[in-house]
Amino acid sequence: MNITSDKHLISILVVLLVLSSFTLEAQSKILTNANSNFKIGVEFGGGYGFKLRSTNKLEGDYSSSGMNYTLRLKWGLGNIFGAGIETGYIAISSLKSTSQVTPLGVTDISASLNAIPALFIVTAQYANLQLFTGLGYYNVMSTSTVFNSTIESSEWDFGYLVSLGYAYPINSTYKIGAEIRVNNISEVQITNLSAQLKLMVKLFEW
Amino acid sequence: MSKLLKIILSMIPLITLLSCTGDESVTVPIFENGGLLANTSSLSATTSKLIEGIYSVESGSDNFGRNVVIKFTGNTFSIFTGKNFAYFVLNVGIKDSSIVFEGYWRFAQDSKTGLAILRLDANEGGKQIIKNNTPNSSFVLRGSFGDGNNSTQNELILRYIRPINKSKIDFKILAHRGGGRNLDQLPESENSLGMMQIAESFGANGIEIDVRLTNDNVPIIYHDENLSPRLVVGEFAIGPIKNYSYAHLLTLCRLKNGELIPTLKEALETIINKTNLSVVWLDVKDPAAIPQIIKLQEEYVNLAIAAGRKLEILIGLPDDTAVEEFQKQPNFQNAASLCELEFDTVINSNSLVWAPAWTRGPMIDEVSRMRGLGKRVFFWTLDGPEFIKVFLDEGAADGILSNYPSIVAYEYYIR
Repeated sequence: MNITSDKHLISILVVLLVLSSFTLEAQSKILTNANSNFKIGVEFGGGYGFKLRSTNKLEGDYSSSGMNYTLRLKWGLGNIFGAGIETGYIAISSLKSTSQVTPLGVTDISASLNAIPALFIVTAQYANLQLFTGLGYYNVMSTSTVFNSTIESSEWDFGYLVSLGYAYPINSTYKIGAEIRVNNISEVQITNLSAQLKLMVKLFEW
Repeated sequence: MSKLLKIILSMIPLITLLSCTGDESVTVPIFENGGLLANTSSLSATTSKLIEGIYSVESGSDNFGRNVVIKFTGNTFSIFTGKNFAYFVLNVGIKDSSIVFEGYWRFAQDSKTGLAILRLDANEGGKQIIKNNTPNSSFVLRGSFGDGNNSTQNELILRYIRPINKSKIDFKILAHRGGGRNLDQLPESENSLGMMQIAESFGANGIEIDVRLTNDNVPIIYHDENLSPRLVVGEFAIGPIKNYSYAHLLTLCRLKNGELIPTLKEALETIINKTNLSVVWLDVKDPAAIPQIIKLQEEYVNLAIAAGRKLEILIGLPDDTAVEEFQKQPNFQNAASLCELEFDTVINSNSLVWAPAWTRGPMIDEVSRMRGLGKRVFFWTLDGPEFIKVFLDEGAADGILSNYPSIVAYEYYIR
């Protein structure tokens, strides 16, 4: 049995379960709020995140946290539920090490791991609370320098997002808010927990 | 709504928990302080071969079936069972004219394992074996096995019946990925030097290993196209293996159980000097590695001969791209190869072995045709006991590649 794959499958099912229970409630709200308008908006977020489980075995100045940014295009009915696409930048971890002893000799090491998500998201909102779930791919990028030679490598990996946010309207066009996010890049077993502040801009409404 | 919020909030830690790798390794149980073998003398290889045979299970058949195979695998003894397809890996020593076996047992397709101890008492055959006499039905191995680090839970009694099957063909039991996959939670990582050294204890007399090339043209042993947590530990090792230099790989990551990714050179040195394996199938995962593989094949065949080792090194050609690259090489016809493709390609590549997928069936006619041309036939990758039996019954194979060589060993030697 592939335990890892099974756990990821369970994770995805859990996400879908939560989403479906939430959207069911949202749909019932739509029926009672027939005047909801269709809106298209964009969201910008920035904050700080932590990798939840380190697999680093190298000695040195290791950091499993860094800045995270989000750019999200969202559309949907009124303030209740909708869909969108999301990208951004996640600084996952980094390492700086001097005089590391390796089987090939002593070297300084500099390495970093980052990801760019490309997710399809579904959102649901109640009052000022928002739930986001997303599925898609992450471009995971590694840059490493050893023995004075730098290599950049990347791959696309399947993953998902679960996020809970709060939005406070400033006026009819702008909202500000905050979001707690869990990005999981299943194929490479990376989970990033982050908190972001965000600005939401309504572009169109009809 | 507050109920819904509670559900959502409670799901976040659950999702986080589920994001953990879930990778679990099976620890091989060992006897504390060397067990009874700590104060024993060693048994010669010639004498050890005498113990090989088919034994009836007089106690312990609920777990291991009616008959088992005992095989000396060079350094250790292995027992292969028909029920649950368990195998035992046992070290041996002589104490007071009795022969003591200690080690572990394990189900091949399950992670269940535990300690085992057996004893061939002086008056039940031990003395006779030490004097190099052939065994008979009065030979009885008595002992016990248990779960985990317990060796005394269950009685185990094995009585000698007859010698093991020795057919006319030099049958090859080939272990996949150097001996077995990470998925099966073995004590060493797949395609590691350590795995190659324990492959014989799983019943293999040959192994298949995967050859790739780093970006500085070092042939290494690694299965997948990409580095991934399935095969390596190393947070910054991501993406195609051909993006990385050998220095980067050695610095940034280790195989799943902490071993270094071996080079092809290291693998061949290990196989020659630390095993008795008789065949190694170099599965070409990157055709660009073929020129170097041919050079190393020639070098290490000569080293094996110089070391008095009978070792066949076969270049495995899995697809048209590999065949094309292979046939571009000068004197490719002199390089021993194994081809997975069709009849004509096997002939044109002058391959010594045809290696079709087992899913194509035993293909009796095609196999006869190949054998008529002096080729051997290895089927891959055959894991199901019921299918292994069919292929052995049909007599179609000169070798079987499997993730469970212990199952092939049982089904082959019990005949």
